[in-house]
Amino acid sequence: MIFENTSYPIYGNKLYVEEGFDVWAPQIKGERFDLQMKYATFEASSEPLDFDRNIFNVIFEPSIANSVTISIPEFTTYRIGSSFFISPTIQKTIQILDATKIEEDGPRKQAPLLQITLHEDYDKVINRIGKLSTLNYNWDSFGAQQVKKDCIERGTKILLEVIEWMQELRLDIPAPFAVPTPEGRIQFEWKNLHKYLEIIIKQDSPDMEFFASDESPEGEYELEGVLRSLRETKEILYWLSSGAIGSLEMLFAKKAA
Amino acid sequence: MAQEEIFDSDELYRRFPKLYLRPDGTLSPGAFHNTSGTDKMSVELAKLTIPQKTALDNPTFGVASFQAGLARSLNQEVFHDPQHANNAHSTVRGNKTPSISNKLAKAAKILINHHSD
Repeated sequence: MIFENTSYPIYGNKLYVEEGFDVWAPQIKGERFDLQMKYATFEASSEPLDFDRNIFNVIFEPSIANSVTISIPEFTTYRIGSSFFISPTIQKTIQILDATKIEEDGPRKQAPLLQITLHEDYDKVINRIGKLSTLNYNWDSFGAQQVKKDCIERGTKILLEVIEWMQELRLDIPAPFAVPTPEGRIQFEWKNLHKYLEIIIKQDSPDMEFFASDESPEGEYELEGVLRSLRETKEILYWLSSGAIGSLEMLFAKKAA
Repeated sequence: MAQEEIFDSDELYRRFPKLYLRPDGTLSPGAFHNTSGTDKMSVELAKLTIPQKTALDNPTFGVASFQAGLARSLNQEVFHDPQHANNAHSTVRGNKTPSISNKLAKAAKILINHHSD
C-alpha cells in the first residue's frame, strides 16, 4: 500500500493497524470497506519522548473521496514531561490506493498491515535531537554545556518547516546531521553533492549563524553569516537544494549591502 | 612538568564524543570547537601518549589526529600544555571559525572510531 499525507506534514509517525476486534469502516468512493483491527500503534518520532503506544478509540472517518481521515486522540504522556515533539492532536489524511472492496454480505477480509513512514530521514534527525536533549553536562569531557531546551525546540521547528517547504516547493533537501555544540546549541549540517551548509541554532535568539561552502569544479567558495529571517533561511536552503554558486555569491552580496 | 616543543610535523590527538561521527564515516566539524567560553581546544601530543589513553579507554569517545602545522596554517597557536596527570595535554589556541573547524575535520584522520547510534 502507498500512503500519502495530503493535509498535514507527517514527521516520522508510523501507524500499524493489525487485525483484531475493533472495527472501523472507512468509505472510499462510496464503497464500504470492512477492516478489523485490535489497536493502532502510534510511534513518536523521537524515542526519548515515549508515550502510551496502545491508543484505543482511533477513529477512521471518510473525508474526501478516496481518502480516510484518521483522528488520533490527544495524548499527554511523555517520559520527560515535554510535548514539544508531538502535537497534542494529530490528524492525517491517508490516501488508500488499492484497498480491497468487501462485499456487503461477503466474508470479512483481514486488513493488510498498513505502514506509513514518511520523511524517514528527517524522522531520524528529529529522533536524534531528542536524544541530544538528554546529554549531561561535560558530555564531551571538556566541560560542554547541556543542550538548551530552547535550541531543541527551535531546531525541531526548523526541521518541520523544512519538510513543509519541501512539500510546498517540491524541493529535495537531504536531511541534515545534527550535533550539539559545547555551548549547548544545536548545529545542523547539510551536505548535497559539492555543497555544504551549517546552521547553528542559538539559545535566546531567533538569529542563526550559518556557514556555507561550495567545492564545485568551478572553484571553492565559502560564506559565513547570520540568518535573521525565515526568508533568508529559505534562500540558503534553496541554494543548497538547487542553486548555483552564483546564487550564493548574490546572497552574500545582498547581505553585505 | 617540562614543556615539549611541538613541531609542525608532530601529530596531535583530539578526543571526540562518538555523536560527532556521521553515518557516512566522516567527522563533524563540531569535534573541533573550542571549550565553551574559551579560545582553546584541548588536544594531546601523540608522541607522549597513545590513542587509547587519549580516548580515556572509553568506548563513547573516538580519537582523530592532525598535524600541528595544519592548525598553525589556520592561524592557531599550538603549544604543549601539560596538566596534572596528563603530560601529553596540549592546546590549540585561536578562534575556531566554522571554516577552520571544517578544515580540521576534513584533514583529520580518525584513529579510533565508535559509530554513534
